[in-house]
Amino acid sequence: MSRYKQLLFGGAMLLLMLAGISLIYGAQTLSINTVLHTLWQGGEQDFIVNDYRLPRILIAILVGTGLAVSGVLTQGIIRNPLASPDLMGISGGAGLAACTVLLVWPNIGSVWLPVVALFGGFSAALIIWLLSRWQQPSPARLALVGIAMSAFLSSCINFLLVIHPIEVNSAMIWLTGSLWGRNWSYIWPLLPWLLTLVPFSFYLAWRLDLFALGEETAQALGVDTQRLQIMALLSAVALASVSVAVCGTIGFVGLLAPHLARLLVGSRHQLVLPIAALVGALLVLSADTLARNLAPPLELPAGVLTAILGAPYFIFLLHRYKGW
Amino acid sequence: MLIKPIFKLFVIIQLILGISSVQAATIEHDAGTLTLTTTPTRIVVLAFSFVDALAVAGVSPVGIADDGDKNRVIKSVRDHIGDWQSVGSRYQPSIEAIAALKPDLIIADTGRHQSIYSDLTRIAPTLLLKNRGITYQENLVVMQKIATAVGKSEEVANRLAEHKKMMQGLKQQMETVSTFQFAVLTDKGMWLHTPTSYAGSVIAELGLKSPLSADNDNTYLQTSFEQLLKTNPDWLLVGKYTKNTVLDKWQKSPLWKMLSVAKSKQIIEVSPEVWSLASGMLAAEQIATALASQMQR
Amino acid sequence: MNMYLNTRQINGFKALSLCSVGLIGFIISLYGQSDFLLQAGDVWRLISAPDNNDINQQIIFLLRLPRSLVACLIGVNLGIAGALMQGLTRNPLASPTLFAINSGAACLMALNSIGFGVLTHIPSEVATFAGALIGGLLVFLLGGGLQQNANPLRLVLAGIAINGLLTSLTRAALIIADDMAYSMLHWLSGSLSEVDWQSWSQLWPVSLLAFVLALSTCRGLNLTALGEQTASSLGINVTFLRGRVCLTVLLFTSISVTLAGPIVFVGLIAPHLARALFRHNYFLLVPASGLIGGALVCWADLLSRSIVPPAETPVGIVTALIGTPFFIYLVLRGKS
Repeated sequence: MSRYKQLLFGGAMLLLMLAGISLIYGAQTLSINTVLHTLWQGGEQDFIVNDYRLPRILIAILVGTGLAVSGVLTQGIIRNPLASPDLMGISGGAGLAACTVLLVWPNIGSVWLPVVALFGGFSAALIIWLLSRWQQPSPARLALVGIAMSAFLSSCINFLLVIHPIEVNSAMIWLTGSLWGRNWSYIWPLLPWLLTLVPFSFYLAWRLDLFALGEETAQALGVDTQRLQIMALLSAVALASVSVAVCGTIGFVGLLAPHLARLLVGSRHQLVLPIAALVGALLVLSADTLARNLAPPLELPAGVLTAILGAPYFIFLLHRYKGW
Repeated sequence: MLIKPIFKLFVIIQLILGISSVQAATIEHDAGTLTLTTTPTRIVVLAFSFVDALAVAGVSPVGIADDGDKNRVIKSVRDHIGDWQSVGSRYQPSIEAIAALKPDLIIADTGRHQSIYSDLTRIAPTLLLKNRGITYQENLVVMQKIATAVGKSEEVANRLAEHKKMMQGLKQQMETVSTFQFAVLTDKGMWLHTPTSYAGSVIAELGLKSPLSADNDNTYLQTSFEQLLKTNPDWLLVGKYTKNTVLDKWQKSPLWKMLSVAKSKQIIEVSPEVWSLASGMLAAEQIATALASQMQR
Repeated sequence: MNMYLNTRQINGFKALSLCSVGLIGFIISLYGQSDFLLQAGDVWRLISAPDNNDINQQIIFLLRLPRSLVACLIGVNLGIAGALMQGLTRNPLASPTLFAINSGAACLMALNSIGFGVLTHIPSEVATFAGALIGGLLVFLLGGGLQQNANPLRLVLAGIAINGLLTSLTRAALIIADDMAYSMLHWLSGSLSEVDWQSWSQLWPVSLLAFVLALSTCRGLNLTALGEQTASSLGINVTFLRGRVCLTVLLFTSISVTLAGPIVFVGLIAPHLARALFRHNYFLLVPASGLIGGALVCWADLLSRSIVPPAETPVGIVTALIGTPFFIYLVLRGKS
């Protein structure tokens, strides 16, 4: 097996193992037999295993994948290492919309929250897109606009939090990103997006490789760079928005996973995408498992742990990487 | 095997006992109407003011979302209930831990737990009531709803009448000329609790004046030294969350002596847990007695 | 009149107008938006006929004046720090935030506030300052700051990682300490409401030292803008320069964040504005970024008291709210 296949296989195994651990451990520890039995036939622990832990695991994997792929696409298009879905103002827009709803109409109910977040994310992306149509900036300039937009939006969020101090905590948790209380009903809105957009990003992969050589080279080799940029950005926005809509703005995954993947397997998008998706899924799943098990019955928001888990490994790779 | 028949018998006895105490209770709550056919005995509560209400009713909950620290339930409430299991934090209570307790009633906070309401109802009948941002009057209504749910409406009604009499009595002792302000202090700043907060609404209920203008719709008001100088309450009740607070710094300033509390020494340290966190009827009584005892000195 | 003099005059005019914008903001913030109905006349009387028993004068002297001074100087610090950061990493997205100074300070402050371990026993100012230094040094060391020819990209990536880590810890603390959350949130958005003369006396010596250091790096930064190779061949020790720049940024930012919390965005926006006005000469860019930063924070502080009176909006929020639209316009229109 090539090193790449080993890596992929190892990652998948790790993910499976982690899912198993996540099914077994929690406020109540179940035996492996009970878990297997419940998975097939239900029974006394039906609620905890099948309706509580299992959907959370699946959502963690989906969201991690979505954020990571979105990150790869954004970084591929903007060609700046600071680029991430957060940067494009998507998380900011989704966050602002959700916070406005949480703070101004606290009783609206969380059914509408994902919809609102989706709307916010797309509006922010739309504004950036309109601005880019207006002046056609270079990707680097676009990144600057994005970073300014997201700083602006997060300031708006802080402003809302400061003038509505009583609701701070629920908004705070949403902004950190959490899988608490997410059940099957959250999976269905997520799945179709991922099933179409993740394969689509593979379709874009080799074009992004050419794009990385420079816009003119890519054009000379027959890539419609304008269209590529729009398609990749739209996919990135959609993937990030649905993920954020379900779990809140889980930070760091969209930024970290692509870098990690690139440090592991180089810069070809075809190779980076699956590894990044795996890393993203692993990161969110392990964060959520830990969040439930660090000090039960206390639950931490998973978003707090993604960075705590990811950053040390990232720094280790950074230290070892020789290809500067 | 002997265990099985004994267990069955036990279930039957329980059923009979249950049926004998059948009092179909119907409660209007924030997610509709809940009808309970039996009186619940294993209750899980996810906010502190509900614990206060259960303590008034004389019912002990089996689980409380106490943020993993039993001392966060104030002592006057703790004394009235038995021991309980923690089910995690109020902001993200562990649904697994709640399920493990096999409750027959869950009382959740509309502000925090609406999103998991459907999950909670699969574990046990669930009441969704207001806790976060509640005022004194609102809490009395919520308390009566909880009393109905646990089948103690009569006891609680009696206790409530007693409470109202006590509040009336204390109200007589209060002087209504001075202004009263409760504030929370940390080393980062001072926050005034306005009449729409819990402590503020108790102060208003006692007929005491607030130094803030009435058109203020904030619940908590961040206050700089300059604004405190302007607000200038006659009594300042402070709950300190940290050992060192901004007040230490302000007291050294030459401007401090311009405050009327600096001259009259009517600045009193109180427990922020009782005044801000608990927000129940027992807490209100503690607030009222504390104010009255200050007045007598 | 030759071209050279002409540019000088234009630059002088730009600098003068920046100064006056800052000064107007400074004076208005001395008396504006007060429940005590302060007036410009009170400021004048404080200078012409000081009176210890006049409450208005006392408020201006004891509360307003130090606050405005600190606001200005912090803006200057952050602006210059941002210019240096962007020069060092040659990445226009870089800002002092990247160095994890803000997040380090915020993290230790938050842990200190919720009473985490040994941190409870030290004053929060000390914890905050230590956090700023630790965050900054971690990024510097892990980003290969001490190595020869380290890629600036590495510094950026290390910054991202450390920032993410520290921000997460801060959030965890904030969520766990539910009852303290809003007081910390206020501080975390940058707040000048608690500064006094003592803060000023802590701020200016450090700032002065850092400013001298900053000026000493200008020549090096001008040359590295042409590429590190070129700079080396012209006799610049790049590693030494990088060390000095990092130390300067660390000094500027850590003292600011200790006194007023993380005021974000100033360090990003001020250098961009300065570059639009004064091109790429760091001898001009550094003071200009400082001026712009100072004026920005001063006006932001003034606005922060007027948006939802009587409550104060944290100044960091205002800097972002007024800075962003302008910034985006600049980026889209700019020729650089």
